[in-house]
Amino acid sequence: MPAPAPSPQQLDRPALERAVEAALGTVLDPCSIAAANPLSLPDMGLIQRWDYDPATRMLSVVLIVTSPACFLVEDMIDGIRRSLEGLDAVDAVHVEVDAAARWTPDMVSPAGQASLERRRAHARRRLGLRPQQWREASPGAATRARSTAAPRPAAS
Amino acid sequence: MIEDIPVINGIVHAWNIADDNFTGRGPWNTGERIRADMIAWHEHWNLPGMSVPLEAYTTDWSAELIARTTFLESDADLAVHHHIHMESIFTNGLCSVEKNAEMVQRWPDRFVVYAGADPTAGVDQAIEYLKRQMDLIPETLGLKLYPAQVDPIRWFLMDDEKVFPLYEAARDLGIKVIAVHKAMPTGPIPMLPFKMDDIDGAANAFPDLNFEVVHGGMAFIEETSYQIARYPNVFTNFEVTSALLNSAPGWFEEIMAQFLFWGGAEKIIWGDGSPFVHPQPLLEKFWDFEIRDELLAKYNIPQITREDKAKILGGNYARMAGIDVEARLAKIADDELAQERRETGRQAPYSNWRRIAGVAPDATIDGVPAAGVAA
Repeated sequence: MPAPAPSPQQLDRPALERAVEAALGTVLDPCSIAAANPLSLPDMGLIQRWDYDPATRMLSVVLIVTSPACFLVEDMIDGIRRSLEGLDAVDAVHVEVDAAARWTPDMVSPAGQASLERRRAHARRRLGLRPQQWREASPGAATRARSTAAPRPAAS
Repeated sequence: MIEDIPVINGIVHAWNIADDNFTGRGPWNTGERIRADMIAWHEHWNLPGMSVPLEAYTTDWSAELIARTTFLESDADLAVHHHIHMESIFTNGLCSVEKNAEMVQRWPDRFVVYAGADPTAGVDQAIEYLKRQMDLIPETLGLKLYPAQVDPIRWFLMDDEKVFPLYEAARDLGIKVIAVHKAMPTGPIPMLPFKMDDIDGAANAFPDLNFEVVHGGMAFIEETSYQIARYPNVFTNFEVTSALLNSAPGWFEEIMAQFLFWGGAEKIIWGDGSPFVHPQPLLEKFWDFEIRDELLAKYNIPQITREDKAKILGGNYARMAGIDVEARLAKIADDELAQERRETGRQAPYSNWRRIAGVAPDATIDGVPAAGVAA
């Protein structure tokens, strides 16, 4: 027999919010995993909002994707469902994708931005990277032309 | 041409997304899922109201449709078309060899074509398939690769030495450019082969080939930036990325600023993958495009110039692929498309597709009559 629906008075909303945020925080964005810098869906800015209906004990989540071309959205939806279905107050999970929403990189959380920057700084050090260093190399099949968009000298 | 600047659309696609071209193989019926995403691109990444009906979109797009949309409805002078093999998902490929052949036969100075091959089916088999295409279309200048196939899911990495004989064969056959689809996974399959790391080994091992990373900036922006910064022979193609000018212009601006900083204007190839998105609004937006002061300061770069845009819109592609643009422009100056364009002016977005498909023209697009002839 399903648990009786909590009345609005019985629902511990702050506790539910903590539980939902923690659960969603365990779902990782597949592309960030591939980039060797795993970030959760909330850290990626991909959870637009969620709502809880105490009468039906249904949790509804609205997901956005980085582009309408995202081929991994089903995997993310599965991950969201699995993460939330175990919560005490939740009997059903509904996930909807807002295909019209526009994701931009600045929607990544501050913690996520910091994590990305740490990894990128490491890569730059490891590669000894300098902007447009291809111009110093033997040009091979590529062009020797100088860019009018070359970086300006740093101001002294 | 925009003013006096030649325009090369670095990728156009004559997709076959008709019902009978899906193998039905792969997880969650991969082909159907890819088509659903292609429909979403068309609906969401075009300007509002600029689209064709689903019954026209979910068909086998002809070479004629691509030529007329590209050269009569946009300011492109030349265009590049890839044979997209992907035979595990699409029965006759997503873009067939036959369309490459028709384009080169009918409009030899308008189109540049790339062969396709699938290294995951075995490198020897891929080489044989490439040779057959070169026999059929000796003008082929590039080779397009897709990193993964389905049923079973399998992939290759660009720096796998087992694949190098394919690059050697391509080079020996006169191929100038190896293009590889990256950043956007082709279905619910592992992301690993869509990462950028493997470009390094291939670019190092084959300095006499150019490597064109398609969909640059759609993911792994920094990784792509670091490659175009380091390797003279790595370029990034803006297919789909350019459509961000419609759908997320701030994101486009950030990508462009990063690529200009790390690689410079010479490493960016214009392309859009049209006609899933209409090419002309993107060209117009890019021609007017400027980077905001905040980003110029962030990357310590000067404002993008007309000369930079000329390189991106065609100069870079011409150098990368070894194309004599002036000679081609002279040859197309009076071809059938140029003659019609002179008579009608630039034609309205998707007017040719609607006519070919036999569907009614849109009444308006953003309040502008769409059925007639634009400026």
